[in-house]
Amino acid sequence: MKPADQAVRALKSWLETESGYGYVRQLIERDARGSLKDGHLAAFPGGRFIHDVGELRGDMAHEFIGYLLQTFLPQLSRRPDQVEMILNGRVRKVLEYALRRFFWRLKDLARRKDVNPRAYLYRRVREVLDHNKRFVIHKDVRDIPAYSPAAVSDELREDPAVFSLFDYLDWPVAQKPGKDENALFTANYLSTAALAFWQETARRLEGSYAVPVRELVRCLAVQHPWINRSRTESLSDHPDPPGNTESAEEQFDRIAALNSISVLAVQFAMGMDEQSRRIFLWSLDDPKVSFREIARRLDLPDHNRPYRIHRKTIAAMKKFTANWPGPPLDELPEDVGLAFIEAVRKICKKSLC
Amino acid sequence: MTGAWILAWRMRCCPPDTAPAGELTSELKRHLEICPFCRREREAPLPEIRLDFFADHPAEKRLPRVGELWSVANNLGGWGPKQRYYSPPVVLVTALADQRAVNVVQTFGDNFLAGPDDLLLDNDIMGFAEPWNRYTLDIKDLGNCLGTVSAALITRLQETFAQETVAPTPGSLLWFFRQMEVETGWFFAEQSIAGLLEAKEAVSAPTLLYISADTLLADLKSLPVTIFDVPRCDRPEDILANTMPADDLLPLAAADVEPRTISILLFTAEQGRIRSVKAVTGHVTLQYEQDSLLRVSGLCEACPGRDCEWMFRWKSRGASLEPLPGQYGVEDGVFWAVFSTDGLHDPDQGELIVRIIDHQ
Repeated sequence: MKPADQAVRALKSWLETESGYGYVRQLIERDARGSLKDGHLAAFPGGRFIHDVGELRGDMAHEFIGYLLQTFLPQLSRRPDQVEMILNGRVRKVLEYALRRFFWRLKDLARRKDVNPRAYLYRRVREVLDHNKRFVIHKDVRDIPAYSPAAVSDELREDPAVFSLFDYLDWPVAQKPGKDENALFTANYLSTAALAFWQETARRLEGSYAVPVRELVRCLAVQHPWINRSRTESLSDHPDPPGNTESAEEQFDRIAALNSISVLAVQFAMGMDEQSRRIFLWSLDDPKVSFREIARRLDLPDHNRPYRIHRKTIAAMKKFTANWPGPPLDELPEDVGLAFIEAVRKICKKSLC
Repeated sequence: MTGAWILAWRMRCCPPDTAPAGELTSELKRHLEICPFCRREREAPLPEIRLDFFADHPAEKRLPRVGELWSVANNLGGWGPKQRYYSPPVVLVTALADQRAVNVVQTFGDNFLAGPDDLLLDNDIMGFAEPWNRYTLDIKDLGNCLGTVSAALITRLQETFAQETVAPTPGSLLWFFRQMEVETGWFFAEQSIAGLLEAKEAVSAPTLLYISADTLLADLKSLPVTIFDVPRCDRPEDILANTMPADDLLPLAAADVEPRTISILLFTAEQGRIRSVKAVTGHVTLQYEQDSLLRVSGLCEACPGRDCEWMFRWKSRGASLEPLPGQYGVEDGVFWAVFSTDGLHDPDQGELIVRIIDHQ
């Protein structure tokens, strides 16, 4: 029997046992926490209507087992590295991989035009603005993407809160795109709408603002209510795409992420608790906040405690960057270190917002 | 993308499933310092998964063929540098180097991390081949055959070897990923090659048979070459490395038109003695220094037959470096070599010397 067939058969037999189901349930309990928060559940059957997290996890475990048996295992022989890991007893890592794919598929489905047109519109607007040189994308302190025309990008105000005042019911955004629903998603229409929307916000707010992309989408959703419809389906109706395919949008997102250091910063920041994140942020403030003041803000007995916590964070960062792939940080160009620290700072700030 | 990176890290750097929750060895302790995922495993462990076939699952025993995907043998995995546990990767066989060794490129299963120079696998197999990450393995260090790609893909891969690659920007995720892949490959190649070298020493291959430098120098005297640093050379290979082509042996193209073009000397030997020489054109397509390792690869325009002896040296500011043991190779005219540049100032500033001895 071929190695791939052995691996598929062994894993399938185990998944069909009670201990297999129990294990998957435990894995979901432990690893799904982040995804439950991420709101990837628009495409999960009933996901947005279930308020009991325990019930949701139970349903998700069933759905995940279904995904494993109906989608993942039949395609396992196409994944030599996963087969090898099963043969070598590294089954948990294969299940982690499958779980990640399962969440990707949920997320992907949630952004598909036919399943969730509004989420798809957001993604499409991001793509159009990123590609159009007439616009510049900014990110605010919470990492929320906002945009402005390139010509005015140096003199902008940032205050996402002001937009909550608008209901967009009577806003002129752009000419109606036509009867065909697809016309709403064209680059031409969205660029025109983005410019008109930005001009209207500048007029009403009497100033130039970095406009959150999601506000443009909210405005379009008010004027084209049909994009708010969504339907939920089982993942088994949407198997993994065959072959090595990738849409233009996926490729765009992927290449942008491959150019960033932020994922390494995420890995490092996972080891920081809330207190060490706060102290790290204050230590980067300009002017720097004293450890005595930090102790007061955190209600700690004296300045030695935040000092020690900060020293520990710096020591952990040195260890992490000395052992990450490639040369240690002190042998790399200075801007790599600066970009890494800035990425950690952003992650800490975002997590504490 | 965070998910893709986490999975790559877990696959390449983390110990087997049950290790994080097990005995706290010094290696595990150091790994936990840099790995939040294994720390979580230790804090909230899951039970061990035991599948039925483990006890009697046999490794496949047959010779590999070009175009096949093989795992590297599991027994080579283990704790290694940088507080990581190295798990065997899947490699694509690109050539049979000899009866005991194969040339391979490493592969990775998740296309999210594919860069512009990578080649997606075909024949309905997920993943991509890493042309920038190739090495030699002892055939006995291969584990299971896990699939076959098309001949067309192997051809494209070999074409890629000869092309200049663009290194990703330091500090980008793609750059980190590639560093990790190269470090993984190095961990396994180094072990495997040690075995190959021992075996090679035991087998007599055609070689030069000079008992003194003087005899070789006398043979070279009648050829259109110039020899530098004679007093410092006593081994035949050092003398050949210091042999430069005379002007009339050089091609008509001026070297400064193509700064990455080199002259390779191709010696013909009969019964262990050098009889003739000609210069052939070579191109250095990749030169990449990092972690005190200089990787150089290139292409020889007129590639001689298989029974040739290839010699590589990196000359930099008076130093002449030999490649690391076993860390060089040739495949269809494409050559590569890895040099340790420890202690060298500006090691990147140097010149690659390639000499070939064709034993008739």
